[in-house]
Amino acid sequence: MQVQTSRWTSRWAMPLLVAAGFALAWAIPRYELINPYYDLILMYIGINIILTVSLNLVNGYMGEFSVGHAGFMAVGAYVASVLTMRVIPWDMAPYLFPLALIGGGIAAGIVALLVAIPSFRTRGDYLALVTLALNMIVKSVIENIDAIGGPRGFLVLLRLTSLPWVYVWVVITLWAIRNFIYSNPGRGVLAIREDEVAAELVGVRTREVKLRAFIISAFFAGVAGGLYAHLLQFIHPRNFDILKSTEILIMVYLGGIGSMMGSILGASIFTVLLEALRFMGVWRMALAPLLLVLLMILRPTGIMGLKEWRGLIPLDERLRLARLAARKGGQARASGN
Amino acid sequence: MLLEIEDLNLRFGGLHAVRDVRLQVPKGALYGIIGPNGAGKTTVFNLISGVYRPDSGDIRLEGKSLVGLLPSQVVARGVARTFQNIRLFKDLSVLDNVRIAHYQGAGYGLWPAFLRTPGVRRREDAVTEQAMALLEVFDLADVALEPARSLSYGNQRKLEIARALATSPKLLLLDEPAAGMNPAEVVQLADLIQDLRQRFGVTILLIEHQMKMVMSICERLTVLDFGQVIAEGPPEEIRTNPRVLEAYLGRGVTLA
Repeated sequence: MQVQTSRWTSRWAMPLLVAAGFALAWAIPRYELINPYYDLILMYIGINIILTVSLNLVNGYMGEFSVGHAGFMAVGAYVASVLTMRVIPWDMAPYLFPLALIGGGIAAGIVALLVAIPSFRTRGDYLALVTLALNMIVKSVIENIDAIGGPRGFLVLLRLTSLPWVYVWVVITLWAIRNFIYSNPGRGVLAIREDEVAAELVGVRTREVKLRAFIISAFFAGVAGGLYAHLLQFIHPRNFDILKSTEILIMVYLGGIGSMMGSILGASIFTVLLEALRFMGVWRMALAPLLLVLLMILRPTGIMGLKEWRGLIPLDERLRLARLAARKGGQARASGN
Repeated sequence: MLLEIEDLNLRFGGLHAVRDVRLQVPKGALYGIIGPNGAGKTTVFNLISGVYRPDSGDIRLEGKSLVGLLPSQVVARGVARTFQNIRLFKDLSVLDNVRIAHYQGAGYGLWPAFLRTPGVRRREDAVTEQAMALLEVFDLADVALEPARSLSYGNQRKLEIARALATSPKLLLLDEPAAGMNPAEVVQLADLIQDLRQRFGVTILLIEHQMKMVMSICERLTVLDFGQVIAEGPPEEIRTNPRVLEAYLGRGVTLA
């Protein structure tokens, strides 16, 4: 009886939590439950969660060091904006917004594919350089395409991003990346972090794994870019420079590598902190690198480092591990990944 | 012959690390490679498993060449290995170390994984059960959920063998499995290796320094020195081969 009750609770706890979250995300702007300014900050937090979790896949779970995440975000932002402003008829845009975001994500994924293949032979510092270069190239390319405003920026007249949409995409991102990590194709990602040579020698097709992780990561960065563009309503190549990439890196390492809960916390804390320190003006920008340095010294693993909140582990895997723990009479120790 | 190596050569700059090496390992054999430090034993393993590409020569498994394949493709053909210096996925659980080795055998792709379909969940159950069954064989089932780094040295060696077997190999390459073990553990390991051959029907090729163990369990040996084969035959022949004694231990010595 006891077991049944706990089964029922664990089966429905997460779906109920997600549904309640959606109801709240829908009700807040609908009934103006909170100050629109806080509404805006919540949306930024959501977008940053998507960016952080997606970068964590490559930097945290896979142990590579990609530093140009804003480049993928830029591709998604511009492609999604061109789709809603120029391709999709205006009256249809609110309904086809998800398709525009997916289009932006796919474009970012294609760019990731182009970067990933030549960087197969590079690791560590070299991969950092390749991704850094990508970030700069994307920015320069956009600055030189006059049709999308070049260095003047691009006006996105429709404010299609709303709290419910951001919420839905956060849930999709967490769900997809969670399912990937706790699956057979995803375990290869962890193996690469631990020991790439050994991974290949126990049968993990490491090139395939890296390619997939890169593309998935870029896809969600692209989606986040699209959401960002349709919230800001004016995008500019400078929105997606190295500083933006640095902010995403800080959120990843603040929250902790290899942890989705860590990324949620890292993105939330950093976003709120940056807003709270607005009175400092440009000086708050000095805070970000300082925070990164302090973090690396004081707590290199971040808040959650390699630990995961149970709720973000797929139910079947949680039950499977619990069964094993019970069978062996050993204590149920939540394994990190 | 399960494994045939013909005139294998590899140079690292001026060093001729592997010179005209030939090796014939029959199916079902327990075969040993011995030789002094730096003789090129591990290099031969690296050539077989696809880490290095030979300058010339051929390596065939069941008649099909392995040369030019990626290590993961060599694994798919049925060759698994362990490492001289243990290379486990240390931060991951013992169970996940073994489950990762099912990468090519789990039987579902990327899209079902994203959706976590009922089929994926069933396959995950099956993979986990197979991994646990393998861990039972090695007496590691009780620590399945512990991180690999928490295991004792001897158990880490055993886990590496379990992980290699999870890829369902035809040929298992063991690189100094007894390194760093105490005499009691070495005796246990010798029993385990012989047991594995029966239980999994796997052919075993091992590199070892523990002379006593090699001599007692291997049916046939190849002796390497300076990258060359200097002797080949059953242990009793090797034991008395003067070239081997000279290369291995210097002049005027007899092996116990």
